[in-house]
Amino acid sequence: MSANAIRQLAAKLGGLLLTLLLASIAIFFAVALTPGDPVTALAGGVRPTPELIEAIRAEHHLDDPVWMQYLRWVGGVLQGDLGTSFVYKTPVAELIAPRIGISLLLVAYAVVLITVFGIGSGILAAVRGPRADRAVLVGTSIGVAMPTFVVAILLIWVFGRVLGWFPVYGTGEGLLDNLYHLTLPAISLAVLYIAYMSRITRGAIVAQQHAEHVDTARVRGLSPSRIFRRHVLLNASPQILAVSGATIAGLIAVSAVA
Amino acid sequence: MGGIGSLLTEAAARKDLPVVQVLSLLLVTVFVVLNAVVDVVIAIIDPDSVKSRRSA
Repeated sequence: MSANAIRQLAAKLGGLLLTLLLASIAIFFAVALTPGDPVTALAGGVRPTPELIEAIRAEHHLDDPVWMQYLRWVGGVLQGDLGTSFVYKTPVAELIAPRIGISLLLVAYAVVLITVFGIGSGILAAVRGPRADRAVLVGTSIGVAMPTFVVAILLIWVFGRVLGWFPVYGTGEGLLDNLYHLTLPAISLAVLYIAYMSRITRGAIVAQQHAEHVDTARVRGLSPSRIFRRHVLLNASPQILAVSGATIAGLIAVSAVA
Repeated sequence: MGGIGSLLTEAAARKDLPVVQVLSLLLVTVFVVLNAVVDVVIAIIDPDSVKSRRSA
């Protein structure tokens, strides 16, 4: 690795840490600015007496300046102390741990669908002639146009109720059953991104097919499949990868809200 | 669904602030780190793209 590459990597890492710092500040202060007193939530439904309010404020350091509360919070998170839930009175880490597996599985499932069908249909559209191109164009137009919640409801209705092929709630037991239960949610998450990836892939490949180095390879008499793999797909891959990486990263945030 | 998303929406609805903060931070971290990893991978398979961006 050259010195230049190391310097760029260090700059990248610095930018990453700075982003995380700013994000943590934004998150903490956004939550601190929300209306309502956390004491109400902490008291757990009962009407708090003044003494109880005092005790709660003292226990959670609510009378400290906000920046001190922020430093205490960030310091705790960095040391692995994620804090304690107001509602459940258990450590936040214990709430997250049993749930993160199913979320990761859902995202991984959706990513596989996006990669296989998105890039696959993009390649198909680019190389299999105008009819395939037209068919993929129509399909991806529909995919892009449909909001995720509409797709989800349609899938539940068709495959869950009418056909009854897939379960519509719960997560099942064991990996295979989990995947079976996650099929419909994964598809509904993936549809928009499949359509998006398909368009990007097709565009990147078509741009490469008309490039001079591909013409040169053709004139040299290389086999079409070799030209496609070595000269078209390889050169189109950074563009495809850039979009798919950003897509997957965004998917994690979207799946959390959906 | 019983994943992170339902935990986040439920926590937000019940003003369970510590849970909301940590989950938001977790999502941001994953997003930022993945984007950085992709940037590095792209720089490795296509070094020219990084150089041209520098000089531009």
